[in-house]
Amino acid sequence: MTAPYARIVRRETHSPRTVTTIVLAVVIALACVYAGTELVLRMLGQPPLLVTPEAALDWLAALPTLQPLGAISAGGIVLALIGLLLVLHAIRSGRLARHQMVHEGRAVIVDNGVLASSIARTVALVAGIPQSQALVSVSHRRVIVDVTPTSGIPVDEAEIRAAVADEIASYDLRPPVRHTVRINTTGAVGS
Amino acid sequence: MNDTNRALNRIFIFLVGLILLVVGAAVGALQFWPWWAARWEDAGRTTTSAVTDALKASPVPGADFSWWLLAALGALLIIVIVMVLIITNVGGGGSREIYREPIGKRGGASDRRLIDTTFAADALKHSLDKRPDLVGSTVGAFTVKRQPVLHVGVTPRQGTSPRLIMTEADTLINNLALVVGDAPATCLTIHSGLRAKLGRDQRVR
Repeated sequence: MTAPYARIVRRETHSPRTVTTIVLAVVIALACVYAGTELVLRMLGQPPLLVTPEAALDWLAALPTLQPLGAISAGGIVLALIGLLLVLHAIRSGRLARHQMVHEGRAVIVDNGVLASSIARTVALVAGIPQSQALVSVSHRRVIVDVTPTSGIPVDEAEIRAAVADEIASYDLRPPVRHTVRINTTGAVGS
Repeated sequence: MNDTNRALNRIFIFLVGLILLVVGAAVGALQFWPWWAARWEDAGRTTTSAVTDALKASPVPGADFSWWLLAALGALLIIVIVMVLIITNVGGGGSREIYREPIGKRGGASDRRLIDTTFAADALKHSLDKRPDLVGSTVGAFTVKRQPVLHVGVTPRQGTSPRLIMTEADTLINNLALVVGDAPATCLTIHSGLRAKLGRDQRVR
């Protein structure tokens, strides 16, 4: 039994674009319901909610002659921008802030935040500083560790580097990450 | 890890975006491109008269509106139905069993051994919730490529090594495998949940 792990990992590390889809579908459905209501009211000879279908058509046909044209154009540009964002949203990969940890016979997915807090704890332990002075950010291919020593107490830079390298190596991430350790020259006032 | 058709989601978003882009650009260009504004006006005039003629030419007997209005209503209804289909298409793909294996038809009427998801979920959740380094867990099962896959999601406390979590979860899943006969295909996700972020950092000095 070979599990479809490649597919699982792919699905767990990329956005399904579900929220956007549902929002768009709901908005379009509501707009159609509104238009349908106006049509029915027109058929029954009742006054419209906002505008009769005929008036809407006339307005659309006469759009270039209406004032202020600047506002109408601006509205169109805003609409076009929203459209452009949606097109980009559809095309971009939608990669989530997650990594795969390689492990035999399993698909293991870790949030970048979990990696960051784990690395931060390791650094804090090794350097003997409070965890608030070890800042770690994990992105797709990069880990940046910012160490702020407590003022007057030097930290062992080589030891920290080795610990970070070991910790990251133990995760065995896909895609692999490079790491940078920065030791701030100005220390934090002791706690 | 549900059965949402992601390609369909993207195609839908792309089409809606494209329509908005084209319509928006057409309206936005009115102020800056007199030629285009004149074309729009011409087309508007012809369309309005054509629509008015068409509405007059096809009255519904005994009413003062046209068949075209009914047709438009039908078209709107179809769009609404398509939108509802798109919304309901999202999700799904849950599996009620985590493991199935053909066994011989000796005696039993069933020729498959099935492990119910709730059984595995209860067993795993029970063990996971006893771990002090986890603040939450979810267990479920999905069908991926016609194969049940056990999905275990855990939220560890801040600073817990994910490698450690993985080893622990591995042990539990292997224990489950001892009970059910074979290790089910498993996907483990380790989340940095809100609770882990808000929860007080237990610092030991």
